[in-house]
Amino acid sequence: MAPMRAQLGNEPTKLTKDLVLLQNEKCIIKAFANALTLPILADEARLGYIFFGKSKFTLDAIVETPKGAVGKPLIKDLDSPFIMLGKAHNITDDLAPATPYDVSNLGYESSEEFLAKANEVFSRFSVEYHTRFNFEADSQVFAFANEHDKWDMLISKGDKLVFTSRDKVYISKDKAEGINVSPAGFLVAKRGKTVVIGKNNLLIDSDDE
Amino acid sequence: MAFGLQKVYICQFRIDICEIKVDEKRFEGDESELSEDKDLKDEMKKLKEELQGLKEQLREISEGSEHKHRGIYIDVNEKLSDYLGDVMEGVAEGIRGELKRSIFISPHHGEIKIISEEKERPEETAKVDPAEAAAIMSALGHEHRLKVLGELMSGGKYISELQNSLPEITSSTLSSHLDILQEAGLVVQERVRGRYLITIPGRMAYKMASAITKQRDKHTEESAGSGE
Repeated sequence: MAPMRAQLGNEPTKLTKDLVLLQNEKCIIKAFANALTLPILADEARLGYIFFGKSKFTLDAIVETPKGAVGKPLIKDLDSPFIMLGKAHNITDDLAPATPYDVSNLGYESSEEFLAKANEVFSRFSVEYHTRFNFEADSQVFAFANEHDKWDMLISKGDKLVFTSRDKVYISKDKAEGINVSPAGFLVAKRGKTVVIGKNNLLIDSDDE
Repeated sequence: MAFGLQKVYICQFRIDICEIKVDEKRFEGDESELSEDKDLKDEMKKLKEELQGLKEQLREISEGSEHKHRGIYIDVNEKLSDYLGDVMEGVAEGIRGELKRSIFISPHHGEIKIISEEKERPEETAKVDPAEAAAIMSALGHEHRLKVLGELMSGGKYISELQNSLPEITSSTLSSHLDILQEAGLVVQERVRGRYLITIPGRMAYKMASAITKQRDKHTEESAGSGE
């Protein structure tokens, strides 16, 4: 499948109920009812949505090693816009056209103002990520605008996921494989071997013996 | 002709001239003994010149080698090199910290000794933050909490599994113990699945408690055996 150029639709919709957008063993992303959305379109295809409203992001950025677990959960109640790419069809049944009341409820004076803001956010994302997507059907990409005007990115495919933020990188392949990088240290666990580098310590462990 | 040993060492890791040395004293001694022998003097002069030549050659090799190492460049953009720099600085800091504690380079003999972790590390002991250590010890200081840690040693568990394995602890008490263990960083809870996992410090703490108990028992038995 060739990469496609994406753009936002221009008819705001809202979530009619709280919705889990992604759930696997390590992560839950939930958007709450009344969040405003716009579709991300490429030609006629619906690639995903941009969301404005309340959402909650929970990631167990924990890697289990034979020496013990490392890392901790990351829980964020979000108020800022975020982008979801992939599995767009999963939410279409839970959307309804947004009324001027829904738009003003989120602090916008009109739909035009909301559309302008959404396009500004999406173009910021597009500039950074070139808005060319070519991903497999069962994968999803989430981009959360953070307080540093950057994007925290989460890429998921089944139970495999990658999360990157300003000060954290977390990669989970399965129960026994993971990478966790944060200001507190650096951990790689793979096939029974573990390397942990902390501020003042180094652990290299293997359960081969 | 008895010349002193002419030592030329090439370091293993960095090609360099570490030592090019003629035993000057012995050399001078031989010179005085053979002061009348002009041929020998000439020969010695020749040898000195040869040595000088060797020195030059080695220096060239050394410089050539260093140049070769420095000549490999990987062009990375600024963002990537900054990122790699930060990561590597963190890695280097960790390794430096560990090496500082475990490797001792003798100033007299240039020997490198690896000091085993079990042996003296007095500086580390002195660095313990008493308040922090007391908080951890306090979290450990309850029979039920030690039992919980013991259960988690075999892998992550849901609270229901812990309740089944520890029926003597009521569910509300168990929750409270788990909160204390989490607060102390000995246990972490997954928020998606809800399982409780023992952390690296948690494992260490449990093993430490177990080791102290065994050591105390052993000491008590020995004391009893020797009639103390």
